[in-house]
Amino acid sequence: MPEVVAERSVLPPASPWRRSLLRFRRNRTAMAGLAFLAVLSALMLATLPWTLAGYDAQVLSLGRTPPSWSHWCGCDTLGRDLLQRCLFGGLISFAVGLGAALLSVTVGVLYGAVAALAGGRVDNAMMRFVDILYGLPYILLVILMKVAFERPMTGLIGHKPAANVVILVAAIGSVSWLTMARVIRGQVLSLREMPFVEAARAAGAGPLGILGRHLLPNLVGPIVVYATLAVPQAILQESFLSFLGIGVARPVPTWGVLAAEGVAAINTVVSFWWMLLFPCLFLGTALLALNFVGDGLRDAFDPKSS
Amino acid sequence: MRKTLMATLLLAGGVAVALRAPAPVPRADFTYINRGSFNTLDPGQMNYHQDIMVAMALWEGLTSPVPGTLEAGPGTAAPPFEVDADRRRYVFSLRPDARWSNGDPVTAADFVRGWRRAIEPGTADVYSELIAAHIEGARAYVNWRGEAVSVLSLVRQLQKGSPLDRKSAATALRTAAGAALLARLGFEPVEGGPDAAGGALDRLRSAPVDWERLGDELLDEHAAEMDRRFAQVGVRVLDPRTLEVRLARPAAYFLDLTWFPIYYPVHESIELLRERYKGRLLADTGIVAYDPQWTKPDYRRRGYPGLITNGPYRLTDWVFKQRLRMERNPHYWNAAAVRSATIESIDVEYQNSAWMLFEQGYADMMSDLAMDYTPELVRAVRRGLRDDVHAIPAFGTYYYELNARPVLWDGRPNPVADARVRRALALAVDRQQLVDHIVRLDNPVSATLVPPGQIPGYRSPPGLRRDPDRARSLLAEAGYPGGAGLAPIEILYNTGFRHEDAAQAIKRMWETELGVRVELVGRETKAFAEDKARGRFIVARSGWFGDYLDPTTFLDMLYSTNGHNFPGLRDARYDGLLDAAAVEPDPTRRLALLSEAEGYLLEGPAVILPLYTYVSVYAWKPNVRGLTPNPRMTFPFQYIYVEKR
Repeated sequence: MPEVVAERSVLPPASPWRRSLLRFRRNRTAMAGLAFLAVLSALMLATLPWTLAGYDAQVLSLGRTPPSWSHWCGCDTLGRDLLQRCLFGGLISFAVGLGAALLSVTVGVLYGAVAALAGGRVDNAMMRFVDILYGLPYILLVILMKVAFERPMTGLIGHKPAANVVILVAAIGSVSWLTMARVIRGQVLSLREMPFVEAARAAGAGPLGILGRHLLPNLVGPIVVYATLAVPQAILQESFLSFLGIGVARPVPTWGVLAAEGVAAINTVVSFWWMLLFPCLFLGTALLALNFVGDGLRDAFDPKSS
Repeated sequence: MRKTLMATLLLAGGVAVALRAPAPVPRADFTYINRGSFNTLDPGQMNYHQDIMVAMALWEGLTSPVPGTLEAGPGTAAPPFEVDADRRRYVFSLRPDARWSNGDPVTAADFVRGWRRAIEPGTADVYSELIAAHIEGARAYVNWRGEAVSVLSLVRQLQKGSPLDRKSAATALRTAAGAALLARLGFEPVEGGPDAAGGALDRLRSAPVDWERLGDELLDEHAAEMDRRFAQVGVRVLDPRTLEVRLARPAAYFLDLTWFPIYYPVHESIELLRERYKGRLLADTGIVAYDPQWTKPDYRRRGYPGLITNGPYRLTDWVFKQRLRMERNPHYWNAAAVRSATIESIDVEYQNSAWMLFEQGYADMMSDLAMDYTPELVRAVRRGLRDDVHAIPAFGTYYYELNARPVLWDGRPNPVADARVRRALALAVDRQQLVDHIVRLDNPVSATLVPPGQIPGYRSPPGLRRDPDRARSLLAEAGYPGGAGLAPIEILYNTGFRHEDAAQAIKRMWETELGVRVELVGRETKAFAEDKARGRFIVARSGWFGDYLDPTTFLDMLYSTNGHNFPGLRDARYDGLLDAAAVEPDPTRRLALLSEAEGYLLEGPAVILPLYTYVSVYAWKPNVRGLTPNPRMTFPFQYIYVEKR
């Protein structure tokens, strides 16, 4: 109904947040991506009781059976239903990716903004600390965190695979906030000299108010771009760590682990293609949708767009 | 114009000369690809199968293996061998026509040189045990030399003022040679714990001694006694063509050992490359050292003629991690029977590339296939789709090791410390499922550590076969009915090579049959090996291939002091049975004792959970002849040839 859209566009809502929301809703690809992610998440959550019971239900005699009506995505080498493993593994991957991205964005934004607003020696000290952490290989930090927190966390949660995932999220998140902190610091440094910030300061706004009302909306672009990059990166890092034996322990699946198993099943003699295809299909479409949503959010929150 | 043309032609000519490839070597009569690259060609220091196989082509021991059965057949010594009634003394007569690749005759002294080299500190390696354990007096000589070397090393460290490793220094001071050194300097002998040794060390360090002179004196005294001591080792030259060997105890399989590389002769030219210290034939620490390049075919230092060997082949080219080429040795006594004139081995790092090279005909044989799709290849053979891949049951077992220590490395109580729990785990495993659906090479399932049916005269004990009901009642008896109250059991494995799938399947079997909780710990290969060697596991994946056709090649691993006793088993009854077998002169009774030991090991302490017998997968072209598959995949190269069509 073009009339309605036209009518709304002539009467823009007052709040910048609602304006952004409206712009986002008009972005078709972004909405499609969001819808896809919502459907996928709902599906994975709704089937959780079924997948939780079945992700490690081995029927060894069904090993490597191709897709059929009883097993839509086929079976893996141990005769486990690949659909159940993909759905359950997706939840773990999402949890790791979103958790780690959220952690790194939160820490990075706060750290960078505080450093830039504080300025002077505090800023200098805080950024040198970031430089030091940059110098250390992230694998080393992840391993150290795992070694240090694995036992206490297992004791706290009481379930080793769950504790494993929590530590992995914490480890990946806490080593990947450095870039975010630098980017945000640079942005805040240039933004805080802008006339509108000076105007706000002259009007009597405190540093927290300036940060929340004036700086953050202007930072949404880089934050969202970084977050959309951070999610798939965390998912990939998780699968790399799992390969080294310090990630999620078998038999708990993640998309990365499932894809790695699938690659091993492809060769020049006989290929069990479904073991590679379906995990990659899930992983690829989810990452694509995440990117669409990220793009849409960036466009929507850009203060310069009308 | 003409000048330009001339210049262009000259330039083109120069480029052509510069780019000219070395003349291509014609393809060898037989070319093969190894699973791994060669590590060493020193017969005294070989551990790897590919090295041993090539050594068997280059050298020849007193005997050589009969293709297929691998029994000791005619070698450098001609049968019949003279054996005394107590079967502890052998006399070998060398063939008059046995020659080195430079034409020199092979003498009894060459064998003594090789064997002595194989046990001397500095040139000895893991397989030295095969000589030290079997030849009379060899162990005593090795120990005497080892002590002297450890004390001399300490003296040299004091001389150079280099930092001391306190633990090894204390061990050295506690030996007889160490006590003699302390007495000579007027110090008290070291008694008591490590602190006492530490005190002695501090006193030594501050003592006003000319360490260099003392070290040289000690070295000379030791060197003067060395030959007298070695004369007590049971290997003696009766005349240039006759060798007498005395054994520490009768060993039915001794002749089979004499074709193993550790028992090979070494040509006297190696002495040209012996490292000297101030004119002495020993290094300053008392070890016997040689220039490690002596195994190169074109090494010419100090007039060394390059590697000289006495086997069917001689080495012509060896480029580390690239290729190794050998040609027929014209001086070999049986050169007429050597089928292929040249043999080449090419190194390929990746299994997939190796397989493609084989498929495209660049190699006639590929050893030990380990691609992910190996089972598919074997299946294709079964279905008649191809005829160049061969699955051969191996003399090796895939098994799990269960930690026997009451407390784990990190202080936690060990959930499998109770033997009943370990037995329950063994009884709950469905080996047939594992073999049929995961390994898929039709491996024989095995409930025993020694592969059943491969050692003549050895009757394998039954072991713990699948019996879930008994497993559950054993677990309840141990105080964990239905797995309740038992801490999670961790399975340690190295990632890759399908170990992951096997571990997941076994986890599931234990969880469903016993109700126990199981967690998987995957580690990268090096970290895995280290964790296992240090006993940092509850359950760990393992595999072992037998070296010689006797149960002890497997069973000795669990002896309480053995370096491979990763589960930390300290069992007086098991050690006692092995000790009794070691001194039992009657071969039948000896094998019965060993069988009893294995039965007890599997059903009593149950620290070993055998799963299946390995299968070696080899590929060779249908026109390859004379290749005799056998469980140890040891086949003499001299019988192999490619039939021309």
